[in-house]
Amino acid sequence: MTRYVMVADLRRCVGCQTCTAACKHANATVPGVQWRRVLDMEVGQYPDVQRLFVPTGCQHCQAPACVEVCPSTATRKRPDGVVVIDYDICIGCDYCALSCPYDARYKVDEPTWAFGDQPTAPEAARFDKSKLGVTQKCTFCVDRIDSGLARGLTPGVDPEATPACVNACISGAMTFGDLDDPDSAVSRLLRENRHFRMNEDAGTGPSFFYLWDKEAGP
Amino acid sequence: MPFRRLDWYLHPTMVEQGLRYELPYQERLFRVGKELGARMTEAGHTWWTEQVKEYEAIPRWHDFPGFWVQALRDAGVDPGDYPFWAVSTKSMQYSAGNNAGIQLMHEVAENLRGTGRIVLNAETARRLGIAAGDRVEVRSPVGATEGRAEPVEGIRPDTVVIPGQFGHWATPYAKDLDYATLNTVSAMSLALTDSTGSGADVARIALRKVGGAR
Repeated sequence: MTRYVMVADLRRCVGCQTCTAACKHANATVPGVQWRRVLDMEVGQYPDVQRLFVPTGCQHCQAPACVEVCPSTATRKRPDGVVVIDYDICIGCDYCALSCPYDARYKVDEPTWAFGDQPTAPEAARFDKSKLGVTQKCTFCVDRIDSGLARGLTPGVDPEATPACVNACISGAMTFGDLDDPDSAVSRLLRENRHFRMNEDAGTGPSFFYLWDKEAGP
Repeated sequence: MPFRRLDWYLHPTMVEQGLRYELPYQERLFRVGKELGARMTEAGHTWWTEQVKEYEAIPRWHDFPGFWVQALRDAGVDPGDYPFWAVSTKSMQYSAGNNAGIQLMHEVAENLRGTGRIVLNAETARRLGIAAGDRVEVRSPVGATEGRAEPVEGIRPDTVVIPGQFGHWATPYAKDLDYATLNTVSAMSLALTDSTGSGADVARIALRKVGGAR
C-alpha cells in the first residue's frame, strides 16, 4: 500500500513563506487563499522567548472529519491517503470547513483579483470557474503525483512528482513521500527524529508530521 | 563593559563557545582615514572631522545610544519625553522594498506577525493600554507616523520595530497599504551620520494609542 505524508522539520523552517508563494503559483489560488502557509508563533515570555515557524495546511487525515460531514460525498479520501474534493459534486455547504481542526479549507464565491476589479493577464489565463462557490484546500499537488506516477516517477523523490511547496523550500524543511515504504525519506526521518502531529487529540490521524529533535540514542 | 549581559546578544554564545573578544588590526583602514582626513583638511572641509575619526585600526567603544540622547538635548527637547527606541527591519519577503507593488508578496508576508504594523513589547503595550490592532502613533521631534499595533514577547520593552521603512510610495497598490514608516520620525542629521555616510535607521520616540482596532 501507499500512504503519502508530509514531514516538516521545525528546526529548519525559517518562515520565509516560499512554500506559500510556490503553492499559490502552482495552484493558481486567488488572493487570500493559501492551501499551504507557515504560521509565525512565539513561545515564552520576554526575555526568554523563542520564535517558531510552523508550515501547515490540509493534513490529509486518516479519519478526516471533513469526509464524515460531507453530505454530497464531494470530499473523499483516496487509497493513497490524499484527501480530495470533487468540485463538480461539492454544493458549497461549508460543513467541512467548520469540521476541520486545521483551518485548512477555503471557499470563494466571487472572482477575486490581486489588483482591483480586473484580472491581470496571468490571472485571466489561469482563472478556474470550477473553484467558485465550492470548498477548496491543499491537494498534496495530486495532479503532479498522478502525472508523475504515470511517467514512472516517484513522489517525494522526483521533483516533477512532488508537491510544489516541497520543491520550493529553501532550507530542506519539508519532505514528502510514502510512509508505507520503510526506505522512503519520510520513513527514515520519522525513525531518526522525535516528532508530533498537530491537534492529535482531535483524533483525525493527520498525515502531517513535525520534527523537533533527534531521537534519543540507544 | 558598560552593558548588561542581556544587552549584548553575542556575549553568552561567545562564552559558551570559549571565544575570546579579538578583532583583526586593520592598518589599511587607519591609513586611508589619515589620508582622507589630511586631504579634506587641505581642501578646507571640516564638516566630516568627527566621521573621519571612525577610520580606526581597531574599533573603540562608542556610546551610540548617547549620541541619540544628546541629539534630543541639542534639539532643545527632554529625552524623557521620547522614552522609546524605534528601529526598522525588512520582512523576509522584502514586501515593503522592491516587492512593494506585488500583491502576492504582501499577502504571504502578512503571515508573519508585524508585517505592516508597529511591533512593540507585550508588557509595554499592556502598560500603555494598547491592544493588538489598535491604532498607535509613533512620534519624534521631527515627525509622526501611525499604524496598527502588534504586541509581541520577543522584543525589548523600550523598543518598537516598524517593518518596511519607505514612506514615499507612488507605486500603485503599495501606496494604499497604510504602512507606518520610520522615515517620518528619524532625523536627517550629520551628528547621527557615521563614516559610511549612512544615518542609522534609529529614532527616539514617544508612543501612544490614537484609536481602537478597526
